[in-house]
Amino acid sequence: MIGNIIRFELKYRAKRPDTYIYSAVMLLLCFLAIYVENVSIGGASGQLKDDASFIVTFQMLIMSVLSMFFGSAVMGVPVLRDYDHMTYSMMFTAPIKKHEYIIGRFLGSLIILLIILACIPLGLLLGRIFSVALPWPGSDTGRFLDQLHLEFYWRGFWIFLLPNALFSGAIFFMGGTLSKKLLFVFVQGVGLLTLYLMAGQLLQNIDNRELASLLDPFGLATFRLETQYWSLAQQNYQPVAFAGNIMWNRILWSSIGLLFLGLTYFFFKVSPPSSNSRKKKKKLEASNDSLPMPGKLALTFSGFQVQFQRLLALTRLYYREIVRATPFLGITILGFIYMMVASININEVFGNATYPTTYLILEFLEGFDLFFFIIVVFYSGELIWRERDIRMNQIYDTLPVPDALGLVSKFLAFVFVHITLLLGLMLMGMLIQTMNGYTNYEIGIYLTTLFTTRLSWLVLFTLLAFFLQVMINHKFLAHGMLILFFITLGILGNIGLEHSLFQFGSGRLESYSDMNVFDDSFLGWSWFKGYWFAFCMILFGIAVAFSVRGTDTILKTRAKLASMRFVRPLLIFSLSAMVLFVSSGFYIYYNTNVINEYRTSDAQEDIQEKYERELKQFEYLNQPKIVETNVKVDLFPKDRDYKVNGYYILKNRSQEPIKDIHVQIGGAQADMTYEDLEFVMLDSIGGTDFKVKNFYEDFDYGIFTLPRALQPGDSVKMIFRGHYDTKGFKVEGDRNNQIVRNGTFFNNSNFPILGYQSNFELFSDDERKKRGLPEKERSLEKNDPRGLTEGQLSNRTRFEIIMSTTPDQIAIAPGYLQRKWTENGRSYYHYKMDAPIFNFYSMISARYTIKEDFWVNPVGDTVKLEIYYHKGHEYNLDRMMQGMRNSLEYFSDKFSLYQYRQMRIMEFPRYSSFAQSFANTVPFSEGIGFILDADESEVDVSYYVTSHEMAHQWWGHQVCPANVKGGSMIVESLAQYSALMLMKQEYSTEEMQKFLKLELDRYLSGRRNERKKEQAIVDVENQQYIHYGKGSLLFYALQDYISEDSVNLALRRFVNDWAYREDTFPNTDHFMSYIYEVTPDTMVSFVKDMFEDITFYENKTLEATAKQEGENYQVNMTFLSEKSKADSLGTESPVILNDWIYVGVYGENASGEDSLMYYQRHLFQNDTTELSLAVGAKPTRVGIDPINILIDKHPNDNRKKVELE
Amino acid sequence: MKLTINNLSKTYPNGVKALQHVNLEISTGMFGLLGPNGAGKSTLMRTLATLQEADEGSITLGEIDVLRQKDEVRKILGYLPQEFGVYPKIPADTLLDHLAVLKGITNTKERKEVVKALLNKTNLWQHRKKNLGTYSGGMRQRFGIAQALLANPKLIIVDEPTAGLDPGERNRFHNLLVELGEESIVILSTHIVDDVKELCTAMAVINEGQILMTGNPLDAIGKLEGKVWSKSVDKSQVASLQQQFHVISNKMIAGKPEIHVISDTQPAEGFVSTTPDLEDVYFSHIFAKKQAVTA
Repeated sequence: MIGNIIRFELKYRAKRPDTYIYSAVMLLLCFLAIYVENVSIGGASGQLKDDASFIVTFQMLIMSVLSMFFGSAVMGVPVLRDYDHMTYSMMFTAPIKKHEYIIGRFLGSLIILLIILACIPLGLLLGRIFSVALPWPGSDTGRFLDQLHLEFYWRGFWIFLLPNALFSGAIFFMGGTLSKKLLFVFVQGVGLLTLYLMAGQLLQNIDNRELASLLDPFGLATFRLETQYWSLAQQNYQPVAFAGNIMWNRILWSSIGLLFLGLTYFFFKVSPPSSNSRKKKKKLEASNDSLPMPGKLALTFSGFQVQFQRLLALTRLYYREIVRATPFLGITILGFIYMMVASININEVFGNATYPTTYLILEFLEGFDLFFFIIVVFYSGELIWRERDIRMNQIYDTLPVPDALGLVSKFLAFVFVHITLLLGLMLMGMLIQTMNGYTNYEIGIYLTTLFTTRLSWLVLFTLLAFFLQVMINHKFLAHGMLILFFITLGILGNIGLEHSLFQFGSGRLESYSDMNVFDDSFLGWSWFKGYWFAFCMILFGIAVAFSVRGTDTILKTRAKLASMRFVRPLLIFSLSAMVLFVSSGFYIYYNTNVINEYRTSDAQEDIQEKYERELKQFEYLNQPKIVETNVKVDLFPKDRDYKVNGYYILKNRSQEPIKDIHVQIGGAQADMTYEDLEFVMLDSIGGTDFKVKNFYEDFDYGIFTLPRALQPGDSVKMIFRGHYDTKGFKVEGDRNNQIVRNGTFFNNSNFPILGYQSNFELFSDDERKKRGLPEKERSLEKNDPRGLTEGQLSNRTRFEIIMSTTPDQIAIAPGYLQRKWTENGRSYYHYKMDAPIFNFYSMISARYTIKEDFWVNPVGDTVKLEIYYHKGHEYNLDRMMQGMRNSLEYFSDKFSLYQYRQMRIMEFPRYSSFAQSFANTVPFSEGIGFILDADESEVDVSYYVTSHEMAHQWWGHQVCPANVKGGSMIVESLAQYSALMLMKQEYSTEEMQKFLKLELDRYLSGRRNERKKEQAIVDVENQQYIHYGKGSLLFYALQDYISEDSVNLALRRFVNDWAYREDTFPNTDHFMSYIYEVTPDTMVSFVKDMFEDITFYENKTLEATAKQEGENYQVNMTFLSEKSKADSLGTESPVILNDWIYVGVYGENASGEDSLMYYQRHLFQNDTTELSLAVGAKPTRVGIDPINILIDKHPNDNRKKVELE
Repeated sequence: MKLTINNLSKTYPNGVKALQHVNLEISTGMFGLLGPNGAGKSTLMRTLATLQEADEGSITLGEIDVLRQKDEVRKILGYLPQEFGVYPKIPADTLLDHLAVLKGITNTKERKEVVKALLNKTNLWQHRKKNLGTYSGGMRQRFGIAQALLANPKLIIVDEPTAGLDPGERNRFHNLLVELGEESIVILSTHIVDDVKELCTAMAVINEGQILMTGNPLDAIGKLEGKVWSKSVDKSQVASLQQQFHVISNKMIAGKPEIHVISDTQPAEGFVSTTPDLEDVYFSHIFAKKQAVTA
């Protein structure tokens, strides 16, 4: 019998068009995702191939989440259908048993769902096969692995898609069967999506990952966790395994699916739907039909008051219809729950929470957008179809009201719904702030943000949805079109339509900053919003004309009616919208493209390619060095403009005469205009008679011929004058956030630079390949002489600057303040260095409050310490000041004397989140240290970042590495080491361990995202995950193994030999020789493995038992320890282990906490090692490398609980 | 006021000719539109109620061009569609009040009175606080009637109004309609002949989109006086009798078919002359039409 029911189901579905539509959509989407090269889900690029194991599985998982909407449509209806079509009475009078009916219908539908899901791997597979056999013209078949691995597709299907179909199918089946409402099934779908999103949120926090991996019903978070440290080679070739977290997640959710199926059986009643009879309300008086009808009534149909009264009545009705609908409440509640869960992660920086300031909360609240999206998509359909769905349209349509009234009131009702939700979000935001102990609510910022940007987006989106619903006049098709619209919008950029004028709803307020508020971004924002609002008004006008009133629904009749409706009021309305749309469009174009320069990213890439093709020949041309810089910079913060004029002294330090000077004028910013550039010979003859040999207009690159060749040792003065103007507004994303009203921070990359700039080249290897450029080398080889004679920060120059700004602001640049004065209502600051600094300097201006302190160096000089901060951001000033003082103390003591007489930190707006070390000057972002809610006992980021930047005064400014591979290790890893040593003095080992755990995660996940090649740290090519993340770990291990004093001794000698050199610069070979000098012979190979290879340990405690023997405990332990080395693509091969590794035994300390009572190094030479030792107290846990000093991809299994015998 | 329908035609996209050159003149009072299901009644009603476009022809109501000045029509229209639903989660009085606002009764006090009167007249007063979703079919129908009568309409169009009403409710509704018919044009479409007989002073029979007859029901009955013959027959005989005679109806009386035949003289043995009623009028026209088609 079950067989029959299944067959019936299959036959029924075989006749339904939706079955084919769903399958075709899946097949086509997956096929195109592979076949069309520009579309990429999952991030394949470079060495990570498009059909890599990870990519294939990831794509299948993403599609599996998307296919849930089809799943709900397929699985929700099999029983529901019998009720909708009223066939239930026939069904249930037939001799079918309940379990046959339930199981048969379920299995039949499940088979259909599986067929649809099978189209996912099939589409991907066909895409792969066709791309190789019949490639898209010009597409690159090198983006695939050499061989086709069918296994990836098959495994993804049975490990992920099959269980997903089972459990989501069971849930939807239950929902549809028991509630008999499709809407309910839909809300379930949103619920599953919410779980998935929550898992994604939990995944962000390193400590919640295990929970996240279980919680995600689709297994996407689980898969991401399992592959979080996969190397390139693993991502390419390792098939996903049914084991570990993935296995548990799959078992859990499959069981839940079966449980739901059981519940469906249990609660399903074979009976017609009960008419929901409510409890009777109290009896009201009976009717009296002799009551006379009122006589003459005063009827009014026109006039503002009347229309307003009706509009209000209808708006109120629709508003209530939405907010009281159960699915709406369901979606909203799910959204709010999701937001509460997500709030546990609010802006964590390195395990530190920041204060939940209002603007951060507002950014966080954008996480609710997806729910807004669902609500708009769904309820626009419900509202437009409301009367027709309840079959009241014939009554409504004959009411004596204007045609527009219905749509306008529905729209207004939706706006009120949005306002309600926004207010709800605002309350939630305040609740989250309160729960975090923060009470500065700043309601003004809430209101201005929520009711400008958020609301305007929602309004535009709602209008668009209304338009589609009215025009398409088919609810579900319109839902689909709306979603398709946004997908299309997402790829518009790929076909060259990336201008904001094409991006529906564009126009963004700049991120809020306490320092700079919204800057002047309201201007561009309002024009863009006006433009899109006008656009939507045109759509709305058309929708009003075409809206269905009456029972004629064919387009021809509607068009005829529409032309009749385009009379006075609607015509005027539409025409004015059209005028507004066109004129604002022109005005925007004028701003973005006429007075400002606009380039599509393709055009930008064309320029970059051209730059490289034409000018790369000049890359290593012998050029003079800038040895003196003297500039005057006038800032005009209100207009966001500045002027610069000044000169460089260029000196020929080479042995060859130099005839031509190559100048990259107006480096990074096209808005910079130079009106003057001259050369004055400073040799004994002098002269200004230079010639322009060649000027490359496209890149502002000029070649100037001097009156005569510059002889070795001679100099020429280069004078320049230019200005930067902010004009109107630009397209979204092109805004210059360096020059702002309060908190300007820019560096000299806007000023003329000498020679070819290789950092302008195209970086992406995929893009380069397409354009026929060779792969880009990120750095020169370690011993390349061209690199060894050039510092990473170029060379040193004498430095002098005069800055002026408005009197309310303070202007700051490197150097000692010589004089400060006021002239013509402007403030002037004259800074000068008494010793050369690298030609790399910051210029800053803002309204500042200053915190001052001082430090006396070992030779008795006073060093002035200052923090320039935004008033109100006092939270961490003391910690930062402490960080400065401790750094100066420790580094001066251990490395060399601090070279300046002052040190300053300047806060700048949070458009970027970094701090950067210029000579005696550290601009520090508002976003990372100033609003940190630091806990005394935790490693706090403001202290860490301060000491890191302080360390750059040594690593970078005293010793500058050569411009070759490995250079950034000398700058960044040593700064990390220095900061770690300061932190070690302040914090417990456990806190340090937490920090190092994050650094390990940073390294391992960074490595996972490598698309080119991983390098050993001595060859690091400016890869942040290596020079920061791995650098911290390696140097921490190094000082632990060979002692902090030895490392510091090596560094002291290194500084002594290499600081302030101008002729040649050190590489990592030079550096490592100082390290090997202080390394005991037994440790040399260990250090070599760490620094010169990519080495991994796999340490694990297999068994741990203990026996009490008198006072003592005998602990028996079995450890697993393996060592391997990886190549640049991550292929690992085992190596013989012969290293000293820590073994630790934990016991309870006096205050009852778990702490190390035994911590010693043991020599490990085998895979498994048994160890036995005696301790004086009861052991709790043991571990091999228990505090994770070594690089280990499974750091958590190093420790294990002791079993007492 | 007079409603004039001139040469009205409508063909649906699927080819169904719903109305073919319909001409009608309707004055104040009750007008019955009789016809079988699918005859075009609802199409005509919807066109009159501004819900549907016509392909050709014109409709005027007094000075108003119904097909173009829809807003003017709607101001004086009361319409009860054949099939309709309501907002399930709203009480009857609230929705009726809401509709009254939209119908132009802007004065709150007046609106309250109207709503109260109509709910009383439709016997819903004691149920006014219940959500409409909990109403039975009959109650909902009565609510539909109530809303159609809001704002003293001059043109009342009710499509199958008594479907689902019990006899008591039906009588009550009839009384209400008659009361309104004194001042307004009331067009009642139905396939229940008795409704027309009891209420209407004028009527039309429509089938397959064509008006087959118009006039006063009593006149129409008078025309058949002495021409209708009936006979109780066996089931097996029906088919052959239909071949032989102008059989206009065939219905079961106490388990046996009774056929009505039109004939100037007694058609055959056993036929007895019966007093014609409106049903005979109706069937004679429908039948005549069918004859014409098959002939």
